[in-house]
Amino acid sequence: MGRSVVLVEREHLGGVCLNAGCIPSKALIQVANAVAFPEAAAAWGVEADARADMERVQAWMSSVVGRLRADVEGLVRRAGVSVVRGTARFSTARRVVVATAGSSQHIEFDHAVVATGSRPMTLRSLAVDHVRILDSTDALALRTIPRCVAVIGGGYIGLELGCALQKLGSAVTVVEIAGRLLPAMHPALGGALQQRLSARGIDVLLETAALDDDGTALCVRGPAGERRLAVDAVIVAVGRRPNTDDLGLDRAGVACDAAGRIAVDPSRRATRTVLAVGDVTDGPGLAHKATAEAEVAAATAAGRRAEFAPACIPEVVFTDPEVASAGLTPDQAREAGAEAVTRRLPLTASARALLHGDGGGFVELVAEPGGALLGAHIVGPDAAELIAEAALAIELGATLDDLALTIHPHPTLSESLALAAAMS
Amino acid sequence: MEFRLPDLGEGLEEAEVVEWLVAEGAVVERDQPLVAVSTDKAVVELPSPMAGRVSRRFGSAGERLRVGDVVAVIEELAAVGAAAPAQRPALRPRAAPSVRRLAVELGVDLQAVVATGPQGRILADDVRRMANGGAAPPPVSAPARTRPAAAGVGQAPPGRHPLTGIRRRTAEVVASAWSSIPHIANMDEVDATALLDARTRLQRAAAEHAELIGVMPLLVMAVAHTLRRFPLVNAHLDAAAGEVEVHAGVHIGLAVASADGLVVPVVRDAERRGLLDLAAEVARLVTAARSRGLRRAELEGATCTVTNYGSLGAGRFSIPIIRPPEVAIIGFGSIAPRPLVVDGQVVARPTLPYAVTVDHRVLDGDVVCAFSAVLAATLADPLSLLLG
Ligand SMILES: Cc1cc2nc3c(=O)[nH]c(=O)nc-3n(C[C@H](O)[C@H](O)[C@H](O)COP(=O)(O)OP(=O)(O)OC[C@H]3O[C@@H](n4cnc5c(N)ncnc54)[C@H](O)[C@@H]3O)c2cc1C
Repeated sequence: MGRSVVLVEREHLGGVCLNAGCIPSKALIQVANAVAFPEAAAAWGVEADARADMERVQAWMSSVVGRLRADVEGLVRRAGVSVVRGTARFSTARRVVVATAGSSQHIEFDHAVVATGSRPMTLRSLAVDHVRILDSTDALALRTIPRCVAVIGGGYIGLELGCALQKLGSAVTVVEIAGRLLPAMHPALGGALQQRLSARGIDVLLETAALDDDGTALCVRGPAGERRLAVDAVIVAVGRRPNTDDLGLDRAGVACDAAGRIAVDPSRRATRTVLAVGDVTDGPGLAHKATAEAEVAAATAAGRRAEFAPACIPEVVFTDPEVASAGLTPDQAREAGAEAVTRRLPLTASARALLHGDGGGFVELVAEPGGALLGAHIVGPDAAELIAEAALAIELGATLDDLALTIHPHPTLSESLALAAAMS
Repeated sequence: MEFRLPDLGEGLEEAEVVEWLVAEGAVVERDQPLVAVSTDKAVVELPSPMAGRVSRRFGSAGERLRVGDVVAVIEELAAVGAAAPAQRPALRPRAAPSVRRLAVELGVDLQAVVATGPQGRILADDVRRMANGGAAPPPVSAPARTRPAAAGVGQAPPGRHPLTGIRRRTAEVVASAWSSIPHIANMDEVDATALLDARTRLQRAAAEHAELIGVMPLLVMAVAHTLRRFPLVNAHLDAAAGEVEVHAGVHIGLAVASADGLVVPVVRDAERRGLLDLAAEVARLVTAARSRGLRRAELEGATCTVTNYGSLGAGRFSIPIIRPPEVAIIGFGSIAPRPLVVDGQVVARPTLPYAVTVDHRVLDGDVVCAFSAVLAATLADPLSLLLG
């Protein structure tokens, strides 16, 4: 778009997603699935054995991350973006100071885009020591699989890590303070997932708070009182906090809410000169949301008119089974003034899902009475892949009939969307 | 919408903010001065291009702005209301992402676009049409201006028939309205010569949209115009709370007789629409009402209702029933030649009978009469609509 761009990064290009989030976590989950596969395949008469050599697993994960990081560096270079290594802070609404070891430099700008992401939230009584008390980054870098693990936080990050570690051989207990898993999503999703996790042997403690840890056991308090969980490691995954507190935002005239998020308008402007995208702003902390917002911010900074106003942002959870959502839940639809209709298809109705084993999953579609699709919620194998079709349908204003009349290939999991849409 | 620093003429490219005349978050009227800026020549107050809420201001006193820079972001009040409480999800007009992006780029408000796509989808061409010259409406099949009594009206075989669907709903609503609202009505007729003349001339002036320009849009416009002068008539009564809520926007319900029964779609922001825009919206809503194509949101939020029973072919006076929580309803009879006294002589003139019914709990006879007088004067001389 013809602007000259400086990218300031204090660590690695690629951010959390590439270096300590989406990519390494999906790599680890893929390894865990491979290790768990023989057990599932045993039911089909296949005999095999699988074991993960965590040293080699980590080496492979590093090489994948390294390769992607090099790709990103190449992209940035070819785009003519100059990269400055260091930590940026605003000194005025037109200038940042970048501190590098020993020196600092000023950068004047017409527009600044804040995309400093987020970091794990911590619990006061459970300081992360990166040895026994771990954050998600530590958990992704494990070189030995702990026998017994407590995961604090039943959100998507904790559950993904818990599921993977369980498949890699850990005995896993999930401790969640809310009354259900995935508390931010459609209520039925967490319930269905919990059943499956329990069936696999993961212990789920709801309405339970982690108190402290004495070096051998984690003390928790739940509906049945206090309890000590003897574990070898504790993973704290209780949410993430925007990296906005140490940026000098007040000097740029940018305000944050109590949770540290920067308020922006649909064009992603916080002020006339400062824009913000990604985890530092409201909305689900997901990489694809950050990217879509960044496109809008770039256009705005280049003087074009643009707004971030998607009909839906898909949310995906790579547990086993996977969980995915796009658009409104029935409650949200009602709040928005639509008398929503819902269609829920149990995945036992899908031949292909049955081949994957009894997942106990479902596809739920939410639509306006006139049929226009408002939301889709899936628990089941490959839910994260399936949700993209629903997102497209929502964006295009497709109706349940449109989905039902679109011929889906047989036998596939995607059929279940059409089958759900065709239910009456 | 974004309000950008307009071209201030005389080749000036920059202006300096002198002072803001409204606070961030303030609700402003259209044309209300927002900010004073100084150029090399003078201090000018920039008026708001629309009514709404100033959700952002850019630039503080002393800051220099260039022509085209965003000065403020103003949101329509309806949109503000929907978005404000904790990011409530809002139902949106149906348009694909590429079409929505186009609308943003062209500065077109999707809510105002007439959709021609299947099932009310807004197409890229609809957005472009709106961008080129405003509300030029697409070839929506215009509703028949007057429908002779339909063959099926009032027909049914002997026997008991359950009240279902809209019939049942109508039965409940009118029974409760009739028994709880003390209706008072005022009826008269006006000379419709100038009104019919205006319609014919407007049809000629916009020949390609002639079919859309019936009397109905002019009636709706006149009612909206009159409601703006009598805010208390453009109101809702919350009897339980003992409160009257006066509305800023004028959203007019149109009583439409469909095969399923009475349907009342709502023309939003009627007072702000130009005639072609209004005519297209009326045509669209009437067509959609008759073909069951209305979305729920299009049936809600009326601040006052118009019933044109004259379009059903006959009828002079009636007492339309108010649709609570509204506090008034305006009915129109059929335009037909009738005797009228002009300059002391009885002559035949086309006349338009009207009836204004109000809720006596909120409004007294003086308001009804004053309202009727303004409405009648507007209808008798539609040019007065230009006064705004
Ligand atoms: C374990 C885990 C798994 C995840 N899995 C998924 C997933 O499957 N799918 C998904 O969509 N999302 C996933 N996420 C979330 C995703 O990683 C984030 O939403 C995404 O990275 C946010 O992007 P961002 O650009 O806002 O910030 P980040 O990716 O956090 O990037 C911010 C960058 O800014 C740098 N920085 C911060 N402050 C400064 C400063 N003052 N000066 C200079 N540089 C600074 C940081 O070093 C960092 O590189 C996961 C996250 C975690 C932790």
